[in-house]
Amino acid sequence: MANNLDEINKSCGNYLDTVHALLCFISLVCWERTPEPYFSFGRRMHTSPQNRIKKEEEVTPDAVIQLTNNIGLIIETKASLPENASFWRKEADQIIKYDDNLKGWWTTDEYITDYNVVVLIEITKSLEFNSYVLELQANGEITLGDAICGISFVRTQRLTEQIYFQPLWGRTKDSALSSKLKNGMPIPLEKVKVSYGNIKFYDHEPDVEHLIAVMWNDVFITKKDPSNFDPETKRYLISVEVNALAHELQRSFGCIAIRRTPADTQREQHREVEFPKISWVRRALDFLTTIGYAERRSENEYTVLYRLIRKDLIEHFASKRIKEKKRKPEEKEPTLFDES
Amino acid sequence: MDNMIDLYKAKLTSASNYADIAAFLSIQPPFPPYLYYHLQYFYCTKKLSSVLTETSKEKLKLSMINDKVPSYLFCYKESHKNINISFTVTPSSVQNLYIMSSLCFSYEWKALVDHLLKNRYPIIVLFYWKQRDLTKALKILEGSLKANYKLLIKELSIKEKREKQANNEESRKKSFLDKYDSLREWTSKPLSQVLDEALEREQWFKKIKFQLYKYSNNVPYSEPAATCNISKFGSISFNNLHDLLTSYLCKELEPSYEASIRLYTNRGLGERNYKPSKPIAVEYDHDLFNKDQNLQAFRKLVERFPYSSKALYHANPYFHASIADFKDNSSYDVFIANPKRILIIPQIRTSIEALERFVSFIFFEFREGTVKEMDETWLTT
Repeated sequence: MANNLDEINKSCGNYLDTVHALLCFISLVCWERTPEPYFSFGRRMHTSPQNRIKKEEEVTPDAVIQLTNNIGLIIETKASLPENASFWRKEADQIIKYDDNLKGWWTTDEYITDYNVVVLIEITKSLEFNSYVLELQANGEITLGDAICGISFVRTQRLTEQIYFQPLWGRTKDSALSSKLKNGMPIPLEKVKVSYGNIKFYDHEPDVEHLIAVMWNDVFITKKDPSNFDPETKRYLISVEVNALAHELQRSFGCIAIRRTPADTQREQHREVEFPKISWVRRALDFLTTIGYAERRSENEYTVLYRLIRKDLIEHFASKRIKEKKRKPEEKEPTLFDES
Repeated sequence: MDNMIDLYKAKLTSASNYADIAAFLSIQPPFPPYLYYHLQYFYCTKKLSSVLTETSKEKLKLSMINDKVPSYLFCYKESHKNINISFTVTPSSVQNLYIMSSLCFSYEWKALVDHLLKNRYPIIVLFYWKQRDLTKALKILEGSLKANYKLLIKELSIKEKREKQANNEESRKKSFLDKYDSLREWTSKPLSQVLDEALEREQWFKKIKFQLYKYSNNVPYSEPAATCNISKFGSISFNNLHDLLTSYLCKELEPSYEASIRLYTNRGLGERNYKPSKPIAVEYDHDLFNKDQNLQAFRKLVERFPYSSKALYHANPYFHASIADFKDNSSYDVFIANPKRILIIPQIRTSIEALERFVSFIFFEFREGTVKEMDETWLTT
């Protein structure tokens, strides 16, 4: 976890880079395709009894795209990997876990005939990770199926800011996508901002500073009112209910915001994942409580002590977190990586 | 002079519609020195009479003198003088856009606008006239003059790109102000020449003063027939030729406000049942953000945006920040991933007032561009 200002800033930036990379890849796959493919940022799917890593278990890939009733893509992003390559085995196993006849597609029986597991890897780690995976295979520790393909991505600037996708290994089973990717494909970042400018989360918990910055700037501000101003503390006392706040974040910037058509919103709810999750929101509010920016009224209700913060919000809350950590080094910091 | 002001006050009190006042002004001879007819456009969605009277405070008294044409008497006591001005507020051709006007001296007008309209954001917003709209209106006015009058620009408040950059790399990076200068110029040039020079020198105007000279047998009169001042934040004043200036200048400029208001309407997710609108794009005619220096200058400017909290997600090579307007309770993301444009992406609540405030801040402090709804087809080019 990021522990100093630079690392926290970088980590928040990486989080949005991953959101952008996923959106750009979805755009690359889905544009000009009729009928429009189904896609989802995170989806609850189930592994088969034959899964090589975990049998009959729920998994949630970063994104799932169903191109036709016969072909689907399971997407996992690796925008950042641990510096120490010895921790990469977990990442490799996760990919192999998805190379399975997963249940949970948008078909009648929820299965699909053909699929690819697409691993989107940020370019600086792509070759190293590729070698690592091939070495595991050469040692007989894993077997890479032909469904797995690696695609590197990098932000480039050629007149405009773009995310450039390039095949690393394997081949996608969809010929249209293969031909698009053959020589590498740039997607202008602006293009996804036009369609999905409000998407700020995906199915991974961000640094608490990112979540608080969105809550502070985009949600709490709309609830600020002269009637809730407390002249004594010079703060606006904003009552928030955890579930309602999570829902507001989901429909404005998260899982609900990304579903656009009535068909999207009505589709199998039990398979859709929720993000930002209630647990993330609660942790963020607990953190605000710890640093004196909120008061906990009950398990689900908080009062945010809202005020104008002139300093950059991410830096402001990051320095509070660092300070708090120094003050209470023995206490375990709120975990930012929820398994739920 | 007092006689003319008294006559104007009497007309405001007795007028049954604005046409009465306009007819009165149109038959007046040139106003005496320093006396101007002032107009200020402002945007307000609240009930106007309450908004104006809310400001009544000690030393300031506002009373209605005519409810048919909403007219008021503004009395203000300063340490050494009493100000008594009669003014009227009339709706413009654009919904929620009003014109406050009065025949008075500039210092009186300043006191009136300062106390009733300025610093009232977000209840009252003084919209910004873009260079393109202003020059178009001036050209139309000039075109209407034919051989009777000649228009000469007399004074300009401008921002201009500095030709010579600072030698020191550190100081060059330090501030946006290193690159642009604010200037005031006194001149006597025809409009076309001033516009050509502005284009060439990458200037944009903040205020313009021009005079109309009457011609007789191709010889100009030595005294101007009218002097007119325009400031970018919706203010016009003149001392003669009421009909000409209101029909060709005011009526040409009002639609630009209408276009901005229409563009900024219904943008927030909350008012759209969470169906996002397209971003607003501020377009430049050249690759302004190709230079890192300009991007950094823009970042510094955003940091200075008053009464707002910011979260900077990315500063370089692309720019992405969230801005919350603390006065208006609006927020939006600002995104630059193309050297030619700034995208403003509305969030849960993004009001007309907040968008106008931010766009005019960029235009006034950074660089004027063209503002429109982002169109995906631009991305193929």
